[in-house]
Amino acid sequence: MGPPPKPAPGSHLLALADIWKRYDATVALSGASLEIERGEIHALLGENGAGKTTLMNVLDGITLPDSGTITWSDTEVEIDSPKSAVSLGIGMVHQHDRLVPALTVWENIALAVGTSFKISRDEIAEHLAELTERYGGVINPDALVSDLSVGERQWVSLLRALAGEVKLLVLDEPTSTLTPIERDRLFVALRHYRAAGLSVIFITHKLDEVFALCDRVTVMRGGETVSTFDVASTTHAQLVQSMVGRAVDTDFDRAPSERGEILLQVESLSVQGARQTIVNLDLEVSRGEVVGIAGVDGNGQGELIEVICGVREAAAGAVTFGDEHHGWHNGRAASVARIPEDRHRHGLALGLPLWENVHLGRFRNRGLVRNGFLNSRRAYEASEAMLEAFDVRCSSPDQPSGELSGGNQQKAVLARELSDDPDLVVAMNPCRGLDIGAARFVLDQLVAVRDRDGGVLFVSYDLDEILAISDRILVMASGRIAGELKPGPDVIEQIGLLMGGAEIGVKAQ
Amino acid sequence: MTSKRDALGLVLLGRESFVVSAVIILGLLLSLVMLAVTGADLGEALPALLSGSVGDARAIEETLSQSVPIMFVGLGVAVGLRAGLFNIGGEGQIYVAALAGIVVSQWLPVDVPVLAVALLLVVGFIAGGIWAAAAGWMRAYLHMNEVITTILLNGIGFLLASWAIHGPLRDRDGGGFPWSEKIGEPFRLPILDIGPLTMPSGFLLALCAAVIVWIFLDKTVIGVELRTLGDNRDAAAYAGARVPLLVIVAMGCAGALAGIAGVVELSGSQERLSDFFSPGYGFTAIAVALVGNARAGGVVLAALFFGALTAGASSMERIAQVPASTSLVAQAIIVALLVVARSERLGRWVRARRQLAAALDGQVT
Repeated sequence: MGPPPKPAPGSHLLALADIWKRYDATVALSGASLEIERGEIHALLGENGAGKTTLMNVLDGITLPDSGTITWSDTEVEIDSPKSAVSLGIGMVHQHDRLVPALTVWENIALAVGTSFKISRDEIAEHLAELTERYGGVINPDALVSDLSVGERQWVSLLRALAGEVKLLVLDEPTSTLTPIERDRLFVALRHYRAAGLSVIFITHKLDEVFALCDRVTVMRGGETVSTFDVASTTHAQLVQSMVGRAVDTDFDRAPSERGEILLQVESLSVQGARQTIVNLDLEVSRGEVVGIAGVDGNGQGELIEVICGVREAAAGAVTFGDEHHGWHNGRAASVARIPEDRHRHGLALGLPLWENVHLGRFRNRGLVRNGFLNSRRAYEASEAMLEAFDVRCSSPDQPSGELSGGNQQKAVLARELSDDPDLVVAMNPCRGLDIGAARFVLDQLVAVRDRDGGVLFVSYDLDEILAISDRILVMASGRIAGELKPGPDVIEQIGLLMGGAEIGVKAQ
Repeated sequence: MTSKRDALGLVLLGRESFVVSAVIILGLLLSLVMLAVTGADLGEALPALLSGSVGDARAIEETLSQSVPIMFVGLGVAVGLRAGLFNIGGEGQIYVAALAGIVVSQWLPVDVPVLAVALLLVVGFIAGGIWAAAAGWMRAYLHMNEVITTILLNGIGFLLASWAIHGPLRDRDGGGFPWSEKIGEPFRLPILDIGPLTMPSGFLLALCAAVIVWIFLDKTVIGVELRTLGDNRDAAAYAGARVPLLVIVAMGCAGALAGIAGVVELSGSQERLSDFFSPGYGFTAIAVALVGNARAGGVVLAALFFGALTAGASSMERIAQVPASTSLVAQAIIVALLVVARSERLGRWVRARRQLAAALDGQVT
């Protein structure tokens, strides 16, 4: 095992120091550090992609860091496999449970604790009974995991993690699939464990859970651990700012504009999403305005945009584009631009050449089709002009879009969506992964649409971007519009409160 | 700078043809090693292979004739592959279409040869198309994997045809064999004389089909949509393509081409339906489409190669007593090698070696 023990200051149970992890071109962790005391519930807070899960995979021995040290009970250790994590006393509950659905509960527990060739159902069941007595819950050891509810499965995962001699329990976004009652039960149990001296790392991107449950919170952003706060002496706004802050040039010249006719109307929309349920949501976007939707990732923004873009079914409600006479019923007219959140998944066909990608779905609108046949020469020439106008760096329009860098891919998506002078733009995180200059270019394009009397619906997890270009700001939390605000100097505090689940100017449930 | 575009196209084409040629040569060499190890006389077998496939006008006609059905079905498989769908059901589609061809030819005894053949082609197109579109429909709306459904439909299609020729369609003067009556004279495709050579007219039809497939995939909107679907289903949906409809269309086209293979085989070669109508054309065609890299031109060349292999192998069996199934072994080796050559991991390994080599070069200079 690692080098000889070296004395460490304080008496942390665990200290991760200066952990780095790079994959080919991207840096997943850049100098992340984390200290866990004995008997505390420590929240790890951050957006998707902030590096929370990677850091925990390092702790679990799934991912080996490029550099950095891990100190466990004042001893420097090396964790090179999940097995060595378990032997230290680290229990993991992953976001998506790793139970075997075709096996029974006791068989799944046996997979975690069984060391000998022969396993005895009665021994395991007895062990399980001890566990439930100590940690709570009622589980039938002979139930098939596939028959259990999501909450019950998570409970089994939890018991499985606790089956060894656990000193540190790690829960990766445990509440994302739980009902409120199941969530409360989990919180009660975790407080109980804390009282018994167990430490807990609680990964989340939900602020209210941090305040409801945790003692300390470490905020991650872009692979770094930004700062650690005592929950008792911090505020929503403080946490929001350290989660989403990014220096964007916020100096936009915007002509004053009047709200004109309504371009997009969402009425009483309800959506059953994988991560978040939207209930009874209303919003509208008019000519001459940028409507920004702020909120922490995973509060229903993605589901909302997918419904508006026609790739997800709504459970109830209506999405109307323009007036009837616009003929925009399906939102696929040339005058509606849709910039998807995930350019790899929704934006581009990576194996097809750029010249086809910049016309995807729009060959007909652009008059490049006659009787079903493509005018490839004109399409190719048009693509050259578009790629140049949006400064897409490529060797030729024949290059497959998958060979471009992320920023250039995003510009190719913009070239496709914005070349027809759209009246309405629906954009979700269009600056994600772009450098400051490219981000500024994207925001300029959106403001230009508004300035020529178009409407923009702009979802971003980055508050600075929202503040920079929005005429109205809607804050989304838990699948609802928690409030509407005008941009102003002291609006950040209010947004922070709304993001965290507080309600301002909205009728109570 | 249009030259840039052409250059890139040639480079891509060049790399892919290089890989395929290398794989074919290596595959044939391995097959020869296998033959030698099993004690065959190569000095006798090799000339027999060549003379049976390209040795004279008869051999060439046999090669072309062998390549016709696998070219049609292979084009269909290629359309599916480009749309991200795997049609394993060529065999069933061939039998169903041939059955439909026999039935229609007996119901509607058209006398004008051109009309009769055109009718037969349409019937094959529709019958094979519906048979495969059913799998497409199950894929699009019931989320059933088309690999499984087309395999299962193979069994149903074959047994349906088998039932018909053992029962209602059995030729009563057929000497007791369970097969259908011969298809009527006007429905038969002629053998064409071109100079010193003869060519089954089905081969010309297959070449036309290749051109149509190329235009369809590369020059039409629905072709672009199908290729987008094959590259990234989510992006296709986001761009407004009607994905379920496209899935059904792609499978329908694949089956329609296999169906045409069935009726062309019926009218141009075997003239009647039997339990041995297709010696696995539907499966050989998958190899043809893979070797042809799912491109129309590639499929034509691959089908010719596999047709020559089959023609040559049967002459090898006659002359050198080497089992004709040797050609199947060679095909299998080639496909296996090709899958390895195209695998992601190997590609990454080659790129890494190249980068390493480039880095080392940089250090030296």
